[in-house]
Amino acid sequence: MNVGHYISGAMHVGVLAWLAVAGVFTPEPLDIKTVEVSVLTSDEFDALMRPFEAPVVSDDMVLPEIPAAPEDTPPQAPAQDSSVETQVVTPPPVADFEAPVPPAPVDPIEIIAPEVTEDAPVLAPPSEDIPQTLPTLDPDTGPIDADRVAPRPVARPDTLLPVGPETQAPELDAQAPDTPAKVEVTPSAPEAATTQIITEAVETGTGAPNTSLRPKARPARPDPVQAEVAEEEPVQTETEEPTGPATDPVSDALQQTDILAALGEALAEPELPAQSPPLSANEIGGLISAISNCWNVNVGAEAANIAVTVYFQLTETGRVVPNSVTFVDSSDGNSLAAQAAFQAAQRAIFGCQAEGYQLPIEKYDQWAEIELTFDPKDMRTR
Amino acid sequence: MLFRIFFAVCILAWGAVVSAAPLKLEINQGVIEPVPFAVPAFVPETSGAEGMAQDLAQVVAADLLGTGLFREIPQSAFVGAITSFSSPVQFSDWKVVNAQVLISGAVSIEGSNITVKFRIYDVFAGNELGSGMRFSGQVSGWRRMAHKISDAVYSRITGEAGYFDSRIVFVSESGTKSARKKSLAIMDYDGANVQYLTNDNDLVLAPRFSPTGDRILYTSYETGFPRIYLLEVNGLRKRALQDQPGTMSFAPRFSPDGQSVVYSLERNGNTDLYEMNLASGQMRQLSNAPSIETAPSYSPDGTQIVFESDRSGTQQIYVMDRAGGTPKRISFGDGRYGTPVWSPRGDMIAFTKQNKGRFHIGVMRTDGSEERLLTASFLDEGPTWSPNGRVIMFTRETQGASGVARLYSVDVSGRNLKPVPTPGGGSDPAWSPLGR
Repeated sequence: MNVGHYISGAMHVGVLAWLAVAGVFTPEPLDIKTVEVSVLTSDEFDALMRPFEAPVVSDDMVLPEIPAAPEDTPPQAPAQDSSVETQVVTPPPVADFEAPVPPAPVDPIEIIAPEVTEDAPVLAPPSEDIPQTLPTLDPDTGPIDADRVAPRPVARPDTLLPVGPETQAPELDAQAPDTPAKVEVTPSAPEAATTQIITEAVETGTGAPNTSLRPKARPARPDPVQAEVAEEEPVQTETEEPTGPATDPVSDALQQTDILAALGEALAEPELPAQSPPLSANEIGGLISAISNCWNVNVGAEAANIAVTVYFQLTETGRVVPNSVTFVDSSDGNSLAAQAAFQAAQRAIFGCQAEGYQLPIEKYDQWAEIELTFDPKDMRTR
Repeated sequence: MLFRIFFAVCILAWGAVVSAAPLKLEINQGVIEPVPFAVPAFVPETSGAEGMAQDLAQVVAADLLGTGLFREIPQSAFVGAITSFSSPVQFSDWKVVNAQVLISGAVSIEGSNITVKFRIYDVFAGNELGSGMRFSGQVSGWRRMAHKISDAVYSRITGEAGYFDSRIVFVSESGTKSARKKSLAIMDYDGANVQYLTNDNDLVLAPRFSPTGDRILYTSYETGFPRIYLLEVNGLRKRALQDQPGTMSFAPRFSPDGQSVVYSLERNGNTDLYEMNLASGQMRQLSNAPSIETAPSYSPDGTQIVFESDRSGTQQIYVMDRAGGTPKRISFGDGRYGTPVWSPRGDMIAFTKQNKGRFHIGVMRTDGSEERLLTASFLDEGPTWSPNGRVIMFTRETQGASGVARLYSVDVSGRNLKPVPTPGGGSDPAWSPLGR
């Protein structure tokens, strides 16, 4: 026997001693509580059960006296008194909790404990969240402050068109070179009108479309019978040019201008892209997967070290628009290799379109134009 | 009202901006598979060119097929035909057979002259890749014309230069292993047009092309000792490099400019690297170590030299400046490394590796990183790069007394390992520059 055995034995003894002293082997006390019980006689039990018998409802019920509690005090729970428990208690009148009219700064309220309770609840100081009944306002008193848009009435602008950078968008000027001279419009809104949108919401006949624009539905793959019916009964589109009320002098004046005509024409354009939800990850993944299957990477060639970006357009059927595939950019490499990378990308785009890439037609505006980067960084070491 | 107009304009402008922004995506994973191509028989434009028209198409197809990067659509599967070189192509006929690349050509023969024209089309894109080309020359050079067509196709599809219009000089071997006879031979890259440059009386080793392809350096035991010779390919005139009595010189290689030669010189039992100017015959010692330094190879820009040395105790690869200086070891893997060759691209070094009783052909970066072994066999050695740095040719020798040395080639990616046809055995290949 060597020293190692002595050391091992000593350590084992130490561990066992520690376990014993630390109470590892002592069972934990059970979570049991002792409850004292007493024995009742049958008379005592009957006496106890008597109050729980069904109450006798009478019309001449006497309500308990409601203490003169403060008006803001919430209803108090009935006291645990036997005489009350047997009654159907009507809650205190709600009117007692109506806020004072008109609203005024709330003074500190003195807490008075109700007589029916032994312990009055401790109430927090009242806040401004106390329910209040809005005062009845005279319709002639002017607009109400709206925190949402304009907390305070603002001075009437010089013109109804807010002057700012947005109104000076160059696109507007460029697209409407024939914009007529400024039309003098007499503001019809009250003097104290704010800039909030709600002040104009009551107007009708705005000329705006009733619904948001939607892309056209996918061309019919279905049966030709329905197609014939559709041809015979053309459906009136929602984007039909709206007609405003002819009685609005301002609208009449503007309808004679080119700008309104251009706007109406633009709004009536069915191909106008409407904002649709973005493509989901699965939809994008499906497109990428489809093209990836035809993207032939020439591993070992210089083109395999080049990322090339390609732009192309898709029709609503998901097919590539001929001659729309164009070279956008390449990461590096000589022109010959970059050209080869572009051609490989082009073959991938054309090669796997089959009958068209499967993309949701309702999101056509999202995928009508695609800028696709082919980066073989994950293929170089394969 | 004006508010509505204002907001409508804003919405239109915003919509225009949104619609003008294309969906941006990125793809990082593709496939690695051969590109299907179709080469219908060339259109014979003169009588008597029918056979040549078919042969040209076959050579082009064989070139592309041999790279492993292309897959031929057999002519039996064609639904369309090219009947006129100038007629527009019906791409739908070639889409049906899933051909991505179409090569059409025409050939005319007048006397001993031949004219070949060709066009390359991207079938799916529906357009022509580059412009059509035409070659004219002797009828005897028709294979080279076909190789040039293949180079053009390869270049336009892969974006890198081809290697089909090139030749291989190698050591042709015959006889048994114990009584092997060796001679220098030259052939097209695909094994055609073999010509012998020397007889098999003397042992020859390690031929190397000059950058212009018109001269060959090789080592011969003609005098009983290894000695370096310079051979002109066209006239087969040879001359020995300046020699010093009592020395052995071997493992020569041209500098990129063709003006100098780097080689090993054994003197008094020690082997070092030397450089000789071919015009003046002036020698310059590049290394001075008691170890064996051999198998030198220039970098494409001529500023560095890679070589093998056993100065660390085992055979390893080192890189040194051409002007001199302390060599830097770049091989640190298991086993022994030798016969390094700098890629024409300049980005990689091919080598022979011996480890655990097996030989490998491998490549690594010029700093020794990214080592990859491409082959493994009983004996693989002596790599040489194709002119475009895409393919490596080497010697593979089989085991046993009846073992034979053959030439093999492999893509730098490790794919497409295949033998190179030679009349008999072959070893020590060296690839010529493109276009000889």
